[in-house]
Amino acid sequence: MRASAALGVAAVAFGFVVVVQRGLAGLFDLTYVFVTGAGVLALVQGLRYANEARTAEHRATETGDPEDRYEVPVPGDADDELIARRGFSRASVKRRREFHRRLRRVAEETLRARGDYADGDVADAVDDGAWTDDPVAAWFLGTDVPAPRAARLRRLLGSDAEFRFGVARTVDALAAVRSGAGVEASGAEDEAGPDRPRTAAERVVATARRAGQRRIASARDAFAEVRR
Amino acid sequence: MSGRGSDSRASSDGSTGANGRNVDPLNPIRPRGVVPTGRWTGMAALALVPVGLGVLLRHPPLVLVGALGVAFAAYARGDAAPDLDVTIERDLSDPTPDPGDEVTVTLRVRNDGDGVLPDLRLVDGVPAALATGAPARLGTALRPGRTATLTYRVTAVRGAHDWDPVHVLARNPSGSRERDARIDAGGTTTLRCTPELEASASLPLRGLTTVYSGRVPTDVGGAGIEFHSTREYRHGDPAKRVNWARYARTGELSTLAFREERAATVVVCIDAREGAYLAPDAESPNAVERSVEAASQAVPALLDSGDRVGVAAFAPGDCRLDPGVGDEHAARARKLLATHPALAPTPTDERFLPTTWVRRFRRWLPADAQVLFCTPLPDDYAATVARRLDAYGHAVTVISPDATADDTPGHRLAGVERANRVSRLRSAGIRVLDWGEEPLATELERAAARWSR
Repeated sequence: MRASAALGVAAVAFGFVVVVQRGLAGLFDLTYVFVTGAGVLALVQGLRYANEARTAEHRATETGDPEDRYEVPVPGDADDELIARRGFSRASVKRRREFHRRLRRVAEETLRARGDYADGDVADAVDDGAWTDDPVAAWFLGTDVPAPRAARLRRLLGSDAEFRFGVARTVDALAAVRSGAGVEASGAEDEAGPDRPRTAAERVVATARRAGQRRIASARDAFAEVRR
Repeated sequence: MSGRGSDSRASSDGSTGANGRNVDPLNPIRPRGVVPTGRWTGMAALALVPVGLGVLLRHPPLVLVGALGVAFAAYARGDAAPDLDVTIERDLSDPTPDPGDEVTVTLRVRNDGDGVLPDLRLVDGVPAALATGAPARLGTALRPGRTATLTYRVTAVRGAHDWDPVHVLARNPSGSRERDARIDAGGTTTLRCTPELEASASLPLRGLTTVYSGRVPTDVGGAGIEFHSTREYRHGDPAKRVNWARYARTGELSTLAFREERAATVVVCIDAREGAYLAPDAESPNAVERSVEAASQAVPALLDSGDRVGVAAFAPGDCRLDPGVGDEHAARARKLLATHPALAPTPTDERFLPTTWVRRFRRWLPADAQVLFCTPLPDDYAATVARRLDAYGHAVTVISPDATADDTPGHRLAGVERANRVSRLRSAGIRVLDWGEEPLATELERAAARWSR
């Protein structure tokens, strides 16, 4: 760059000298080749500048929007961002796993706060999905609950789609439990009484009934997905 | 007084060079604040391409066209950024309005320099908590000695609001360079909006009281209204408290004791951490605003009933008012709630150590003080603070403005978590007023009925 700049300065200086000392112009033979070469050089340089202009960044100072009032976040905005984020990077997977653990903690705390289960039974209820009518929510937080068809379909679209689907349904189920509606356990526990010990046979029957209900709900859910 | 900006002080953060001009440390040639816009980049092509083509095609008129390009390129390159020598003055129609009042802001800019400012743009530094009804910006050309005026309106909200410096941009006629500066305006730069303290329905307090008489029923027998017990007559007991019915029946003198009503010391503590600045939507007031509103209603209600009231902010900065009584104390509380920076309508970015704050707060808190904790319960720590203070013997009542929404999974989850915190506090024996969209007075009446059962 320095060499070309020096060459340019020298050429311009020579041009000025030629204006005074015309005889120096005779040093160059203004043949066809020389003039054509100068023309090509000018054209190439011109095109180079034109190309620079095409890619050049036009700057302007940002003035901001002081007229707008400061907006505060809505509780849960950060969670929405995490839920909506796509991708399969290790960081994304780690964050989703942490969020999953948090959801489970919230579910256990909600059930405890509602008093639907004794403290010792809360983890079991979440494990076997007995805490909710929603098969997707039951599967999402449970440990040995089979994935409903709707969730399996989402899995085909990617783990992030499956995660979003599971979170949305689980949060809905949690909100329903929190507001006192849709607690599967409330009906079942009302019959037996939350603190009344059950026999093994009753437990098996209740589990089978719940599994059946979940399967029906899952089928209904899958059907609804297909219709949608 | 007026604010002036010129070359030597056009940029608020510039370092001054040897010649008195502000110089960019990264680019010592270009004065700080001068930005090349890049609009004329490539003008050399307009000169060189026709020349090249003219030579190659042996067409002299094209070479002459190249001269035109040279003229344009020289114009763009030779046009310097204008010198910015302006005076700006701001005027507010009412610097101390009531909340909700419309205040007209007038900004006058005068060109004190010798040259024309062909393209001058001003954007006023409207405080973040204020919303304007019209653009707070002006674009004009200004001849030397002339003044241009910008007028807009803001709606006043609680707090002391300082205007930021005016952002001024001046471009040269070709638009190839612009000068960027922040200039402090003279005149009024602060709007103070101090709401009146309006007492709400009487605030139900818990049993922790002082030795002074007041309105909080205690378990101590003495003078009062509600029957407490009877005891043996002691010499000097007033005749009106003698149980004459029993005397007629048995002939024994006994004295009626009533539930003593005493005054309480209440510290209203407002959660104004950055994380407490939450709102369910853009139009609603944020949770800190609502907490301050709750405090503004609670403080006069408590003072009216003879209780000693203090104020504190669970936030960065030392925002505390020792418990006291009287009109002067009420005025101090009003001023603190309205204008203390810790309770500003927008969060500060000051560092905050919550555990240190709790330790200091406990040391400051009188032993017999109740705490009225206004918090949206944005995290578990707020609930922990309430439980800890309650465990230390300061009867805590939580007023919790609900800032949650339920339109997305994340928002719904935050609502569930907050509801769990409320349940946890209630199960720990702490009174919680879950303040939804109803007016606080209505919620207080409802809560008072629930708590008195």
